[in-house]
Amino acid sequence: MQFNGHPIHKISDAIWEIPRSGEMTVPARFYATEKMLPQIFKDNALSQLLNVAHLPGIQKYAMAMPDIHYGYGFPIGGVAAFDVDDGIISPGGVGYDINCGVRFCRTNLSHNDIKDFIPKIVEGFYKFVPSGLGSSGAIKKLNYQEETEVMLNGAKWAIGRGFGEESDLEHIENYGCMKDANPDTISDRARQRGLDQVGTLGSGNHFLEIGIIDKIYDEQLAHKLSLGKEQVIIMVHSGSRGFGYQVCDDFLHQMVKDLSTLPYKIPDKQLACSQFKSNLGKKYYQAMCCAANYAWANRQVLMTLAKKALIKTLSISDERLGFQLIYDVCHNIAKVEKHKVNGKEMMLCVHRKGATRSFGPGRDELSDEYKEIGQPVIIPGDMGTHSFLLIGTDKAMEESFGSCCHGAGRVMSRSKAKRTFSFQQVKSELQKQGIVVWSVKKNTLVEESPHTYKNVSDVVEAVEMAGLARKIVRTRPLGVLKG
Amino acid sequence: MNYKIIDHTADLAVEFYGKTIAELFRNSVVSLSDIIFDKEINPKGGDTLELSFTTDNIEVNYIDFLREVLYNINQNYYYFYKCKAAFISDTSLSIKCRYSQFKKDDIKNEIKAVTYHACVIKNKVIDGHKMYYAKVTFDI
Repeated sequence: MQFNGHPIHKISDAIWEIPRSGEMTVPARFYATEKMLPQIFKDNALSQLLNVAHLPGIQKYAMAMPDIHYGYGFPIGGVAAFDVDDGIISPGGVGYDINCGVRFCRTNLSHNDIKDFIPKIVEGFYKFVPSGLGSSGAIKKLNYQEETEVMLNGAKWAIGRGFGEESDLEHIENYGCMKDANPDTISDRARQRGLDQVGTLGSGNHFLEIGIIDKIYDEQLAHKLSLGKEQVIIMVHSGSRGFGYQVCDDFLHQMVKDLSTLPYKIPDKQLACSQFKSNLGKKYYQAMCCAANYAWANRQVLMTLAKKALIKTLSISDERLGFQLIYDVCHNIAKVEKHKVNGKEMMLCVHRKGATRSFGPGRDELSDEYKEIGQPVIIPGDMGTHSFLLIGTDKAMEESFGSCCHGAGRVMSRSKAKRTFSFQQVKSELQKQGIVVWSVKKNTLVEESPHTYKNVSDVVEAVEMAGLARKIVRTRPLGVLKG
Repeated sequence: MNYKIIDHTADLAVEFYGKTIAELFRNSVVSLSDIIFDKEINPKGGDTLELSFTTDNIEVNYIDFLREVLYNINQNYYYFYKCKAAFISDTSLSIKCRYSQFKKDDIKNEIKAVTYHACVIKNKVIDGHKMYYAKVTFDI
């Protein structure tokens, strides 16, 4: 088997490798079942993965998860780890929507409690949660001092403003805050863009979903997480909004300007980078941490608004609702983590772009609750199909720097979706499945049609076959708010 | 034809066209506004944003030019409806962009960022005419 003249070797039923050749620093590896390969070859994302394999200081492999698809610079679904001493950090390897991520929450409600109220609940979400492009208004416009506190404290800032509980922090990657944030690295433009967007969902693939658990794969783990069949769950998907975009844009611009001064060639300008320990590399990392914290504050507010919407719409008490955050994971991030490379422990800057951390048991980064079992991994499907909650594994630590896929992965462009489907068609198809959808813009619903994504079950199957995570439960959507 | 939308799995790729480099820059500004705002909007009046760029390392400078335009669209809701571009030296381009300010609700298609990914500016014969074209990938 070949891709653009490169041989592809089968390592196992779900792992494929393109050996190192030419100027590549390391081989490329991607995770997929055999039946997923034609689609992966079709959209040329592997050429982007091969570009990543050229970057200096990259360790083991340039990797792509089974939801890999064509992006810009890194492929979406890409994972790459760089030695912090002689490797790089790349804004394009993190993406524009820094710490775009998803959180998964449980409630005490069952399907029977809400089945007659789904349209009202989704309408309630719309009323309580600002959504759509450039949306604002969940909380009053921040001043610079307040925005600085968001950058420094992340989710904790939101909790201090009455959005959620202190205990939520135990259920968020990094406890909802990256300590290296330095607001002095943030441009005035980024600050301006961030002032009125905390607590806003945004547009595109961001969503707020209510669903139920319809299948349990691991009774023991489900019980430990207080999850049961027919139980109502909530998922929130959003990121760092215009603030994160501006941070990425500012630093990418600076690194592109510096490209000619680097002692190595970069195959794509969108992969522009700096040595992690260089002045510019350090500044970007500190700015990225500010944006990551902004995103955690944002999701913390959004989750609380969703909870308030449920209490109001169903006229129930906080206790009856029993709303509890299970976990919050990042999709677009670079983190300094300790991993074993060829038997030796190394400090690495792990880039995950459209990929999720999937730490197994025992990692220091995990809170006490998850240190014993590993971290929850959330894999949402498209709005018409299932989503999955999994658990991180030791195998992921050995194989993929503790990483896993982040969703289903697109297969169809948004422009083709608009040519192929109508708003009514998508809406009625979802209605037939009993899914109520509220979309701020009609275009968004069409662009996010279920047909535009891979089958998430295939993606999850590949992940499990490769041992990168293990399924706990599957959920089914009942109502979705799209931006 | 000033631009054409190209399929891209996750985001948006666009080809912009112009008979000259100056026209390519000019058409890119107006076309970007066309894509983002509702076309039925009838802009008038407004103010002028002046930008200048050098054409050495042209792809990078062209992307930087679009970054500036996009920032003003996304942050200030400027609809650029008229544009004059002229060389002020062999390698220096001055661009005056006339805009009307709208509201965020007038935005039909959100474009969040312009990327440097695989950007090319080349000559191409289109409908028998020699044209400059630029292919750009946007994050949406």
